[in-house]
Amino acid sequence: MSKEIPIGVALIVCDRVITDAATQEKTLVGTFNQLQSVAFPSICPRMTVFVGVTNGRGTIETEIRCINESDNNSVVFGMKGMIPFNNPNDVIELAYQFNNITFPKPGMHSIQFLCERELVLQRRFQLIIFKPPTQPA
Amino acid sequence: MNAIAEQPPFYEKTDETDLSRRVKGEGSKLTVNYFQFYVTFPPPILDIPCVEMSDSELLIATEKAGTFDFLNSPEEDIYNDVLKKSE
Repeated sequence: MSKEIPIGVALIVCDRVITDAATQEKTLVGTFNQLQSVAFPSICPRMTVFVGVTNGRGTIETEIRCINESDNNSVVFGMKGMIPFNNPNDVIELAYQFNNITFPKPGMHSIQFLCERELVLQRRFQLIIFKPPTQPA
Repeated sequence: MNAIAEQPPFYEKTDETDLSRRVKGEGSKLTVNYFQFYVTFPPPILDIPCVEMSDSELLIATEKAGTFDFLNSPEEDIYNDVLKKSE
């Protein structure tokens, strides 16, 4: 019998996540779904992926990865780990802050969150070449 | 006559103590666990041709950049007096 995988409740790409020291509430700053660069490979100084999942049982193997759909689903970056669920009603919130990400090529990218190697959440974002506006002669 | 209309209105009697017991709720507690990960990727290795400068070239470059210009400022003249006394 296959293990029941958690239910995804949120996957948000943003600049950073701030935690209130008093209430432990989270504030997501600078959400976006598109990145622009004048040249490639391009380096993104900071990108944070906020993930929320629930309905998990026991310790779940998870993976977050970013793939370039325009380049044969090549993996740009990612990481794996285990998350513990004490109760199926528990909500596990994860904030991955990636610094100095190198994007080799432009195109449609997708950030995927997998539990037990099954896709739970997915978010797309576009990486395009920035063309500065031409000034009139 | 409508039988429903004849029924007396029914209000559930509640007092404050009863209400406070209700709002507490029962069942499992909904907890949130938060995990934060910081990943810093190494800088990309790009094929940029580079030539290392020699010591003399570095010295010329620093002189031209004005690194030693502070020696010409009047505040540095006090050290000249110290040098003269030592001689």
